Amino acid sequence: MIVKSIRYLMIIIAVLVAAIYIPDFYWKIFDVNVRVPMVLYSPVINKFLTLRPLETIKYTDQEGNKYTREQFEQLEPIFYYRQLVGTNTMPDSLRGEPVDISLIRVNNFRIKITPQYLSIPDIKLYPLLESKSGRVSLEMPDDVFRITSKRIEFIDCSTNSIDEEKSGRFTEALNKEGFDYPAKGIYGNPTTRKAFDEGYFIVDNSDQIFQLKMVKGEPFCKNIHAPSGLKVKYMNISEQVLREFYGVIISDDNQFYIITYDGYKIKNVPVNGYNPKNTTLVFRGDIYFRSIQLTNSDSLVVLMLNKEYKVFDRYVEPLPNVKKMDVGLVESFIFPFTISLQSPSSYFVNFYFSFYGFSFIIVNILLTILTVGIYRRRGYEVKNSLIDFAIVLVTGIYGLLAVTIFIPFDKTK
Amino acid sequence: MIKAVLFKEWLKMKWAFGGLLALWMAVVFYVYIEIVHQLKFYDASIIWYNIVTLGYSYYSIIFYLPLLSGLILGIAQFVPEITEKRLKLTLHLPIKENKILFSMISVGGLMLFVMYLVSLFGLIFVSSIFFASQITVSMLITIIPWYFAGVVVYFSSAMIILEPIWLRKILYLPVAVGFANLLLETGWFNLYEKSLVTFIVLSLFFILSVLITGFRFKRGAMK
Repeated sequence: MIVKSIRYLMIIIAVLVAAIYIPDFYWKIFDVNVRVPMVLYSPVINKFLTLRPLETIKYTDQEGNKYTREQFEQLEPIFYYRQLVGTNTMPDSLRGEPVDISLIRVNNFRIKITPQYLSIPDIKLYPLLESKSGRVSLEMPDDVFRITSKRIEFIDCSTNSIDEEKSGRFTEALNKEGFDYPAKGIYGNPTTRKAFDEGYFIVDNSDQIFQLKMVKGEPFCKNIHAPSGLKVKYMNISEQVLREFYGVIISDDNQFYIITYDGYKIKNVPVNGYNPKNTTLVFRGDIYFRSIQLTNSDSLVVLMLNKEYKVFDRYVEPLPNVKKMDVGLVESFIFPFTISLQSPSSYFVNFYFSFYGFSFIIVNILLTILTVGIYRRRGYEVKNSLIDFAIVLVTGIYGLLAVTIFIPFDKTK
Repeated sequence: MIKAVLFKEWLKMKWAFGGLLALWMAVVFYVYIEIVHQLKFYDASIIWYNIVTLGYSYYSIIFYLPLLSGLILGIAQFVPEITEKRLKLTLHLPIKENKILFSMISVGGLMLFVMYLVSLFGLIFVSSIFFASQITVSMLITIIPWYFAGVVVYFSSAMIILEPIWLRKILYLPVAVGFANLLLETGWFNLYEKSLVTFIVLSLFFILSVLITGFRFKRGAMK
């Protein structure tokens, strides 16, 4: 009977809606703030230091020694150089060398890659800046490019039409380097708020990597001849005054690389079982060291590397996982599953299901017995309502709500 | 007899329909003049950059319009049915109640469809004048969920308004509002790119939801 099937469609909707909103309310009320400390490596005492802003003892080192804010900053003169310079407390020399503020400034960089960056909506149109205009600051061009299955096309924004002449020149430059259309990924840093422009790094259909930039109106295109077998999952291109690397690559097999200025050599950086799906990576550098910080729901790991990218020290701190605390355990008992429209590993809206084992089964059986009881008392035929009971057995509290809202038609008196 | 039912629905809804259609056209025109206005002050390339890189949406004024349309059509069509128990008369006509209800929601559904079609053509036309196809496609992916929120609101309003028991009305409401709200996540373009089909299919579940109410009405449900 058609009306009966429509009732089940609405029950599906009600279950979905309940599985999204009820756990959301639950976590709004019971959520716990997991405080992730800031971990820095001191070039003064060669130890890890931790800063926990929300706790009473904020500044410590890995052995538990406590510091005041001022002492802490003195131990991290590179990180806090602006504060120390501003208060005239910057040491004259560090690690046996005189301090040069301009060198400190040039060497500092920080690149952050969260899981969401790997799955983010985009519009595949890219402004290609002039990289050698002779002007002090960069300027936005009047056009954007896109790469089709046959060529690269420049579209003039004010007329919304393709600039055939320029498209032809740039297509030729790409062809010359052996570009295989279409592009699998186009990575750049389209902003004028940077010191200079390196254009885009483009992965073609055969997984080759090309650099494309515009120099005095002309295409500069270079196949960087990345090692075969390197498949790019994600790239982050960011022009650093240091000019050590163009950007970083995360490969399909979760390796982490930098593309160096030394003839586009691809250099592997050790990242200790990094999983970009659930881990935030922060790649930091200063005048003395490089560091990789990996944070996920279970732990915080900091790897200290020298400038040759060899690990010389590491810091590991397990983090309290909310899902394993009491609130998480209770959740796994009362909710058979939860749905969220957002995910920490993607920007896209979707129905993200989470399961936490089968502890819910006890509660679900109790709810099903309860439902049978209610149906009996209301005088519904129990054997005609088996699907309803199955729904409650599988979807628990959500199902009970759904069949309570959309009640059966039997004996609707 | 069906013809007479359709005519009755038209009489109830023509002003709402005409007014909403005019509003839609005005809003599409507004999107157009807003872009023209912006172009007087900024280079086209800046506007493109704002859209592509900063997520500026030149069509955000559309956001509540499908919801409003669904709600007004639903109220205009179904509130008169519950005053003075008119629905009881309607459902006592010598036609199957499913058929009558179905023709009723077809009228409203068709009106909504006409508005949507007109506005989509208008928006695609306006967007294509100024922007590359990638931007226009992104606009469509972004606004389609809003349109389906309007579909959910219209069809569930039939289920809710015609429902004879107040307790049921109140219980149905959070399901409909809760689901419509799922289609209204904002903050960036193309958010629903990977889930659009799922959301559309689920939204279409609401189309026949009024038959539940009709069936209960006919049976003289008391709870």
